[in-house]
Amino acid sequence: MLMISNLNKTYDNGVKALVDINLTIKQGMFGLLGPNGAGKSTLMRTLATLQSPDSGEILFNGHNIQHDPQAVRSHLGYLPQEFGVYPKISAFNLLNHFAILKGLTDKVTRLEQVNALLQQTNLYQHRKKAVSSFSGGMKQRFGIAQALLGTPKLVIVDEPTAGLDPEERNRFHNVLADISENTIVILSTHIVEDVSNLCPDMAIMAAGSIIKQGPPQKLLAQLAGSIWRKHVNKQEISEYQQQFKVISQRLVAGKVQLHVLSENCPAAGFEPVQADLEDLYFSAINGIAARGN
Amino acid sequence: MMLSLLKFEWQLHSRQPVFMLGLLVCVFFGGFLIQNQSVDSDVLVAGPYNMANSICILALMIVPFLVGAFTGNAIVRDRNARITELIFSTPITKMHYLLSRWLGLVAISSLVFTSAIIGILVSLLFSDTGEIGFAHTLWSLLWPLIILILPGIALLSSILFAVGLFSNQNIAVYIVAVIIFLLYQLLAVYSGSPLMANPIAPDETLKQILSGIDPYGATSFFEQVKYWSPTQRNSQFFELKGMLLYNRVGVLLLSVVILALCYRKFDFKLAKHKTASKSKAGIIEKSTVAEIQYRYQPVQPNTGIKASWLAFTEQCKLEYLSTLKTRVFFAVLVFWTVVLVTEIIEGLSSLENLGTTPIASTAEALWRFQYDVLPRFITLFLVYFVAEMAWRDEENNVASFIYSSPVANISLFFAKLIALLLIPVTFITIAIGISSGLQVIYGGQVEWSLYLSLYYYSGLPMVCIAALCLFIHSVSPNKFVGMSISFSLVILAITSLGGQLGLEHGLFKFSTSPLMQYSDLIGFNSTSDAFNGYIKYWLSLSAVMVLLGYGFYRRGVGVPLRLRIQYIGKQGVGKQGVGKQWGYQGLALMVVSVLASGYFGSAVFYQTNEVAHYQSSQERVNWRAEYERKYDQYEHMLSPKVVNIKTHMALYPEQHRYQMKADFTLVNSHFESLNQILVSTDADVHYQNVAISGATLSHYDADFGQYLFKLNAPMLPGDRLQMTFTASQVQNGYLGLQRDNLITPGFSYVQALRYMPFFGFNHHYQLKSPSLRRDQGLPELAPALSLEQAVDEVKGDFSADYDWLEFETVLSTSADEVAIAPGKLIKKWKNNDRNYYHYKTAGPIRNVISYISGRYKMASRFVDGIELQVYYHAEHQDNVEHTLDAMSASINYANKHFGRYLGEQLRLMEVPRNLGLSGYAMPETILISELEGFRTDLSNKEAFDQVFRRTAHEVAHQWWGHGLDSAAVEGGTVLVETLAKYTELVLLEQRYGNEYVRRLMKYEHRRYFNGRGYSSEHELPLYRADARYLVYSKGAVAMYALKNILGEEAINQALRQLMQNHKYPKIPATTLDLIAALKQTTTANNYPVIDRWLKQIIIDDLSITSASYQQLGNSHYKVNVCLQSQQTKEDGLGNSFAISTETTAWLGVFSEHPDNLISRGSDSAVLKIAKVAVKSEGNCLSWTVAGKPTHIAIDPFYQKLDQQRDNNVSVPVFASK
Repeated sequence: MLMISNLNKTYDNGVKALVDINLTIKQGMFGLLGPNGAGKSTLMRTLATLQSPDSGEILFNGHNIQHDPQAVRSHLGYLPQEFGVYPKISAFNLLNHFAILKGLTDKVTRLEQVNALLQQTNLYQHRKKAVSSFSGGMKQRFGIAQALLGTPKLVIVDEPTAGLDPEERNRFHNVLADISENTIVILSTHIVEDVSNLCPDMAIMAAGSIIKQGPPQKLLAQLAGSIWRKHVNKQEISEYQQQFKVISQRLVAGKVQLHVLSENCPAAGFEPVQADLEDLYFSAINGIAARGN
Repeated sequence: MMLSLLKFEWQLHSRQPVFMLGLLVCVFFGGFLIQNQSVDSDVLVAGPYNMANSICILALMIVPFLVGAFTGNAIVRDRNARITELIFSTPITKMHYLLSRWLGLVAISSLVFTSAIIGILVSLLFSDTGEIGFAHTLWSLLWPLIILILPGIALLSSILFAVGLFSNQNIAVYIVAVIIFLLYQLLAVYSGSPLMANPIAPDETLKQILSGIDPYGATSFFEQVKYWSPTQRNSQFFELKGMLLYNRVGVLLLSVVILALCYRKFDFKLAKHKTASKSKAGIIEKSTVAEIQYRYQPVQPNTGIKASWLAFTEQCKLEYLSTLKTRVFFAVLVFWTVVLVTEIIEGLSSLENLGTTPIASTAEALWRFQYDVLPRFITLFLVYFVAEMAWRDEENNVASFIYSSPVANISLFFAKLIALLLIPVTFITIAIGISSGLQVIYGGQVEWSLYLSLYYYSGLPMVCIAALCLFIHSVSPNKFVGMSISFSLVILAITSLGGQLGLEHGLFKFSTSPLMQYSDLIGFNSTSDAFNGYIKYWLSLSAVMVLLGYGFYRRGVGVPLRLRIQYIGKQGVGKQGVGKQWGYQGLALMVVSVLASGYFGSAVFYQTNEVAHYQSSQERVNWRAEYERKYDQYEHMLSPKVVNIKTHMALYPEQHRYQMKADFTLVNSHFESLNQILVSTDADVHYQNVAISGATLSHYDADFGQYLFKLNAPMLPGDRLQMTFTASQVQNGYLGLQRDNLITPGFSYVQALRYMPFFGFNHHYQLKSPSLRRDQGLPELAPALSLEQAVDEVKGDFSADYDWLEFETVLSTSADEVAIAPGKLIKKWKNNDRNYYHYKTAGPIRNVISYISGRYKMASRFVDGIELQVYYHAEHQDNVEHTLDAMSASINYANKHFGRYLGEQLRLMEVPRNLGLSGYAMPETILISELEGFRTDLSNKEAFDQVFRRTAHEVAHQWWGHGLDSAAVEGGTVLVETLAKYTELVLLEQRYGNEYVRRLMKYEHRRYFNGRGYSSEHELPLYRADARYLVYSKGAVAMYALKNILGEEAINQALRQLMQNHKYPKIPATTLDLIAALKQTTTANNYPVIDRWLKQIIIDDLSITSASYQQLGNSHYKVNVCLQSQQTKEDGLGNSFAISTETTAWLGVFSEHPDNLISRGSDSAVLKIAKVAVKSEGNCLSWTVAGKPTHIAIDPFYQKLDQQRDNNVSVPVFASK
């Protein structure tokens, strides 16, 4: 169990990256949704013991991770949004190297796990090639492999599926789903679909704060009956935006499909729709935007 | 288009690590080069000539590597970065592509090289460069940079660019760069370029070739300024004309041609085999199934010691290999190899001039790199590699993996440290490999234990440098700041720059200790105690820094230093791993390290300041000025002379100390009585119980070691008094090796002169520099008297200059050493496991007394009733017999021609090479360096016999110097050195024939003109001269010329007469007496030639203006030659004028170049040689010779001081009629 309480972080340049974050995360997949710049990565890095908060506390299974970072590091699988590798070192050697750093001292089990991970991420054939020469997708898979070394009890993956093709992405989701049975997996993403497919619990972050939190179904239930849809011409958009709480717009067959948040049918021509996670997401962050204005 | 391409090139290059490294190297080398140039030299450091010369040296060392390093980024990068597809698919034209890359390469290389100017200017700022304005100096730098170097950079860029373009391999670029570097050095050496430290006689053809193709135009530049005087070198700029102009235009054209060829030949498409490799890999990926299926299972991580250790070793291996596998490391390694190979080959293939070679011993090889090249090279590059390693995880963006893993900080930090230490180990190992390999090639014996000691003596200081830099990076906000700070500190440590900032003491020069040089006789013993003392200090200080560095270890993103400082010692209360480092053990270690460095630092301070009496240069100046202010009241007080010294001297080499009891007999040699005696004692020696019979100590001054005695009764002329004292000295190596006072196991040498009491005001303590005297408010010193003035002053009697005495000593030393002092060995015994010797001179000798002890073997021979002894290191026996031969020949000759040797024995001692002397003569005692005397390879028959020459020279000083003790006036050195040169010449002629001496003459000839060219003072006529290039080189040429004209017997008779009339205690001789004696033995018609050589300054320029030959049949030929003589006379005050008297010189007709005949015996290639008259307006003559003439030469064998030699030899043209 991961308990985050009253976490705050302000950068030297004045950006408030974390504002009074409170979260309790249990075993299983936890989705963290939010636009770019919402503070997701700062939160991830703080959880991964790479950065210290200005105030607040993080307890991992009862250990305060600021005071005892080793307690979490031993069981941490971390895949940052951006990462590099040492040049000219093969995938096998590098993964083995990280395994040693993780404390896998027994050679037999270590090699078994390294090879298994290389197979699982489909890198086994390329294990003798330098990771620095990998394509983007291959490198991302290598990152996933290293995050699963050891016995991760807390897996933090920051935008993991960027650059993966659909098949790789599915495979990766399956791996995450497998390990999440007895592990906390925090999946930070801005792809709503990933969360809706995988996560029994989630939070939405914007401007450093958690603005929604809970199981997706429960959050969606709050929106039930208040999402309305209409197809309009492009020229009419601004007019609608002024009149209604437009939460999203997307092009469908040459026309713009608007989703509007409203207790009742906002106007003629609107039809009710079943709220999905995307509506939840957009209503949450646009709501914030409206509040900001 | 072009402009934006170039802008991109600039951005790309300037972000590469080689850019920063290149800047550092250039600035550093620029400064370093100037730092190492002597400001006392005659040609001003900041003058146009020296600036151009320095720029050329820098270019020669740096440019190939610089351009090579940037070529990688300029052209090979596309392949490496795999963006060839992107580039080739843009609309960029081939022309733009190539041109922008090439221009970028030229621009960045030029810019980085130009930064050397900053180093030079900064360095000049700190040195006394003479009266040259900044703008003048700047232009002195920019002019050669623009004219000489930039075209060179363009050419090298074109060559290396082409290599990179067509090979697409960095390694190919590097190899070509190295070849260019080596080839240029080779050509420079063989064309006699002044760029090389030991240029050999130039090969004219090669010189012609090189002046055409020289990328830096240095050959033509040096040719242009060859005969420039110091004044010209300091004021005049070289001109872009003649051969230099052709060469410059040619170089630029060539670089354009190469570029044009690149354009024509380069196919602006992708190489075919490179396509689709990725998609193929994709197919395999999906279709192939691994043979074994592994199953993912969680593995429980460990966190104990074992895990930390394993992580440490793994990380260490990775850090080290990651450094090794970089392009920069490879380039540095290549550079290191090149530097070492050139240095060691030069060391093993040449010892001194005239082709001598050393025995390829390990000591010899080490001599070339161990004490200077190795520490500087490794230190410099270590700064770079530490920076790379300290920031590698961040720069590669791997940090988040590493920092979020459970690996302990201690494993990470110490992995870096140890990996860093492996870098110097790698460099040292490579040095040992190369050095021992070359030794084997040169047939030497490899001393492995000596090589292994490098890890200790050279490796440990590097450990400290690594620790220092790692610490700096751990507190530095970024790599650049860290590297700049490390670099500055390292520069302070390894150069004398700190002295300028008041940081002169050794304690400020991190990681360094007094110079450690190796000699077979004493190993590193002369300064190893200081090394050990210092290294303990540096290591404990390094431990402090390692602990701090570890404490401040940066784990995580943006943990500010203040936070890291705040939490450093607090176990478990830090944030995010910060401050977890130390704990109580760390704190305890820190305390221990701080205490240790305090203790060891104090120990160094005590040894340096208290035991070794360190004075900063400013303190020394103040001390000397204060001495003068306090004691110049005694300057004119008369003092007694020492006429007899009896000592008991006990040397304890293992303890670096001696203990002496002395009894001096003083005599009043004046015509007045004395009432006071001022005794001056050296500060390094501990004096006790100084007493004079019949006198009372009235004043003692501990600061200056002065004892003023009041005589109880006036000391009447001729009265004698006894002075007694005990003296002891404990020596250490903290101020470096003392060349005249060294007490160390294996070899000890105490030169009594400087350390024994002086009487009266001590002129040696006076400040001589006019500027320093002004600073101290001291009056100007009276100018030295000219020879004639001095003669007038003392009415021709210089007897007061004499310092001769009788000497007797009981000398003891360790059981395994032999101890030697002047005089006959009266008795020898052993007592208390020590060796005792009793020496006593047969009569008075010059007061140049030395006590020597060494682990010697001795070989001896009796010649003419005199015992000749050679004391040598047990393994250096090869040259002993030859040395004895040379001593015998010299003794025999001198006894016969100059007068009987004064002593009953003559001893020659081998001394360590780091004593800094090649040969030194004292009464009955000769010191010859291990290097030039005992490690010369005599089996090399091509080489000139320097061992014989030097031995003869030093033996000759038993007559010239220690027999005839000249007056201390202008030209006094002529009677010592010039006459020894003469003796050496006649002895060489006696042994090897007169052809052999020509080779030496040619060398002395060149040495004279070099010395003249480099001298800051106007040349004085020989009889007033004391400058080395005059008394040795001009002296040799002059005496040899006089010998050939007056005859050996006449000269010897004159010298015998001189000796008879002026030896101690008769009135000391001056050069005027020498001239008079020479004139006495010859007829008046020879007076002009004696005056010409000894009293006048005349420089010849003989030339052949035309030469032709006709065939006469039956293989006889008629040669027609026209000659001309130009003579320049100088008056010694800087004025010169042409004179037009006729001169006589040798003219030779040869069937081979006469330079080939130097040192060859009577040769069939000499068709005819005879003395001819040469007129200033020119004259012609015809000879008939039996053989086809190929060369005609005037003064072919260097009998005249002819400043322009290339017009002396002519190839006659065939004339049909």
